[in-house]
Amino acid sequence: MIHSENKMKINTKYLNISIVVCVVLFLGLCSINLQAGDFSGKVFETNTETALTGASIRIENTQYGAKVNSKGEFIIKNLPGNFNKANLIVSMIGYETIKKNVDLSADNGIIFYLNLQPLQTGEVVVSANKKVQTVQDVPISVSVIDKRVLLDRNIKRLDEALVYVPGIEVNQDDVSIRGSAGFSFGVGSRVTLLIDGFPMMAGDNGDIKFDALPIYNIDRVEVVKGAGSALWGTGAIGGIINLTIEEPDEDAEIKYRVFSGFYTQPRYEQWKFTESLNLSSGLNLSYSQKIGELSLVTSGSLYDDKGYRDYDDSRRWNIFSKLAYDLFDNTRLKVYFNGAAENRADWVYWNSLDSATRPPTSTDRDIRINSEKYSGFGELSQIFDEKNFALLKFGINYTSYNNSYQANNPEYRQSEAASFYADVQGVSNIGFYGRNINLTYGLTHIYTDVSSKTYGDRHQQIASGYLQAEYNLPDLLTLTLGGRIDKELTEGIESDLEFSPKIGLNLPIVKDLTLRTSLGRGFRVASVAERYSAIFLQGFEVLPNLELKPETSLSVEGGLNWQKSIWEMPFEFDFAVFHNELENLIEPTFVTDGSANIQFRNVVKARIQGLEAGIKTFLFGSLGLETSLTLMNPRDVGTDKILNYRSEILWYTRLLLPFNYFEFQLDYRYKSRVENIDAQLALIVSDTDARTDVNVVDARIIFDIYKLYELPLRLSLNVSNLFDYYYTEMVGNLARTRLISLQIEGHF
Amino acid sequence: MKIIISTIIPIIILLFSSCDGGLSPRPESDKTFLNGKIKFVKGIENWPPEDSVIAIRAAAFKQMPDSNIINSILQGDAYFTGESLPLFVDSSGFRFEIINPPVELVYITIVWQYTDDILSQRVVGVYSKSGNKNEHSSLILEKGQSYDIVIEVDFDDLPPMPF
Repeated sequence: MIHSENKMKINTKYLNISIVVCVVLFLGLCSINLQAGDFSGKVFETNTETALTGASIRIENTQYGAKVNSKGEFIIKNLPGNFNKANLIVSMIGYETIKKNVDLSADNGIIFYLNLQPLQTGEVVVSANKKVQTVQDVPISVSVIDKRVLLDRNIKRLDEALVYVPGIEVNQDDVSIRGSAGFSFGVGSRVTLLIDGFPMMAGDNGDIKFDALPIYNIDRVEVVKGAGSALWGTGAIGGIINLTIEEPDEDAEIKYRVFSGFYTQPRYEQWKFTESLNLSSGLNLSYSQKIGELSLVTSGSLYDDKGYRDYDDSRRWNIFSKLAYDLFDNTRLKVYFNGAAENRADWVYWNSLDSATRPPTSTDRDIRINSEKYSGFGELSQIFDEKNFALLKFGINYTSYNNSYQANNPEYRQSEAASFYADVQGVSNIGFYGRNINLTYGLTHIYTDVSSKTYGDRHQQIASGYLQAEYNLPDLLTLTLGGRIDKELTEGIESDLEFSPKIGLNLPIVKDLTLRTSLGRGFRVASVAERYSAIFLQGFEVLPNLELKPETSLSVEGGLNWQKSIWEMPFEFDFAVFHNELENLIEPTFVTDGSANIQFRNVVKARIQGLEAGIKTFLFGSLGLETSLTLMNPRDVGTDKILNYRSEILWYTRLLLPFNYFEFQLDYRYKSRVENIDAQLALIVSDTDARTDVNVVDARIIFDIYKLYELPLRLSLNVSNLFDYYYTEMVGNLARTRLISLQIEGHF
Repeated sequence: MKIIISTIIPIIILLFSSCDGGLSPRPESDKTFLNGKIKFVKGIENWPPEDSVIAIRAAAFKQMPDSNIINSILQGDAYFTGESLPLFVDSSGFRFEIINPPVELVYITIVWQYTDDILSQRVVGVYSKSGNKNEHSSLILEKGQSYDIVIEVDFDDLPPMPF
């Protein structure tokens, strides 16, 4: 909700400068336009030789790509005339990925055959190095969730999907990659979230708005683990999460998903708060098509959740559009719009373990939290030739929230923030002793304007420059070197120049066995909320702190990826050891030296060491198995205790059993008990010691009607938390209890 | 199919065996409580002026506070009543549920906050088996037991501060 008294005062000076600089640089790069040609081919399934409609074909390290139409054909248009040899990556969900070196003039009309592969391996990623690569070719651990998995699991918010990613913990609104974060009500996220490379962090709290993302149009979620500020700047302390939006086919597609379910009554009488069954329902509707030079993806979503706890209901909507238009042969414009709003109860923590489904008795149940989020982004891309292309990205991300107290009430909270983003990026291949070096370089500027009763009227801006070089000796090694310089330019804030280097090495030892190692630095500038919070909380005053330094991290990783067929069964084995050093971590701290107030301070130095192992296989042609184990030792260097809110063991397992028209799926998730929390939380929350290991099983049966009647319809019966296992996802917060739901999805 | 079944069954058994149900409300019979009664020995008339009584709280410490009562509470070394107990009364009471017993409480007190500054706290009553407010007593609380104590407060004769 926009507050008329606190209208944004956008400092247009810096914004205009950054846009002008980026446009000038972009136009400077756009000086050549070569004669263009097309490359075409076909993609079929190996056994049935049916067309694989929707399969993606991408040229490695470039912006070129296409999708397969209903006849199995694809055309990559407007390739520069001097484009000769390239690596083509052909992928589709449910099939193995092929990477093949082709001669773009001699191999025109090439036909690819893909084998069925119910478990996804060899995924394509773009966020590790800001370009198209397969997972095996990047020097750092990357996990991928594809859209099929999001649909199968009936995912409505991104955090619901992240809990199954190896090495990730979700503590309510905080995402922690390999122990990088604990719990801070989402304020100051140590993971950066992007949509197609555009940052989606809120300008005031620096948090991720999980309820505002276009879940239904996500093609895949990429999770890059380890410090990533060398390419992505502030916030990438623990890693980054990039959501890639799906591309439309030439055939118009309307797809839908409808679901509804109910929370079962808890086993314990004390926890029953309603006689009826509380429902959780939703609807997604999407249209997509590529018409000539124009591509469109647009969707709308509605969600209503009555909650598994008393006074924990929410209603929200989300709309999304992505428009792409080929302005010229080699120039493409993409425009994105995303909007969302939510109205929800102000649940914070339970009354006590004995009444874990009820809020504290003093809670005013008339109070609601209203929030709105809107973002608009544009991307102009220019391909010059086979060796050079450039991108200009620009956009705005707006968030606002308020509770429904009167403005003069001490409990009233309100904030709105707009983050402006501009990035000009170039990619070039240059010759070096007969070999190519792939360069990625650019300039970025972020300006944030905050108007808030809680934080005051504030602004923040960061300017950056980055360069990364990748040297590739085919079948021998790929060496990546890079660095980024960031400078916070906020008035009144003294900031150091942050230099974030990165080095990575990939060594293909034998066919399908790749070793990798990487070192990277991350940093995070304090958010406006951490720096300027000035509120009263439970009788304590929260004080501003303008002296906050950026948090920093250094990640070192070594790993291997091995893909092998054993007795005609595909196996993928991935192993990594990691060591992360984190300094100046910002935590809310009770100030007990004379004032007993709360202030965000740089207080924690941490060391996190661990290993991660994962296996994917399809046993005997019938049983899919994915399992991953992460063992961590997250230590506070100052106290030698385990860091607050961290588990030491994470174990995720997924089973798939296709059977005729049905598929049975089982997810199992284990997290060891969180040993340490803030002792002071006991001042506010009852039964903070009520913590336990997490053992959660989700199960589902999917009925694919298309296999029976060729109707494009799937029915799923989902049971999340099958055994109604009770645990806390955050102190004083009972995690979601058993939810049984039916989902219908289809397209025409 | 036999191989599949022999693969799935151990995994499912593992899943079932690891699921013990998780958290549950604590059975009443396992709970441990400290019930306190506060007697203001000279009645309502003996209370300090209204503007100097911000709150009265009960606080029970696992370790003796060394320099600052609030510090000990913030360190998690004490049970305390967050909200103020009733003011300007002849008597009142409090109840603590003791987590993870047995627990030894070495110093059980009634604390008066006399200004808006949360640090301005004064001990006005202590638990003493002998009745001598200069000799505070400790109490060991065992699982499943309820303990009743009485603490007297005389604003004209306050016990010594612990530091």
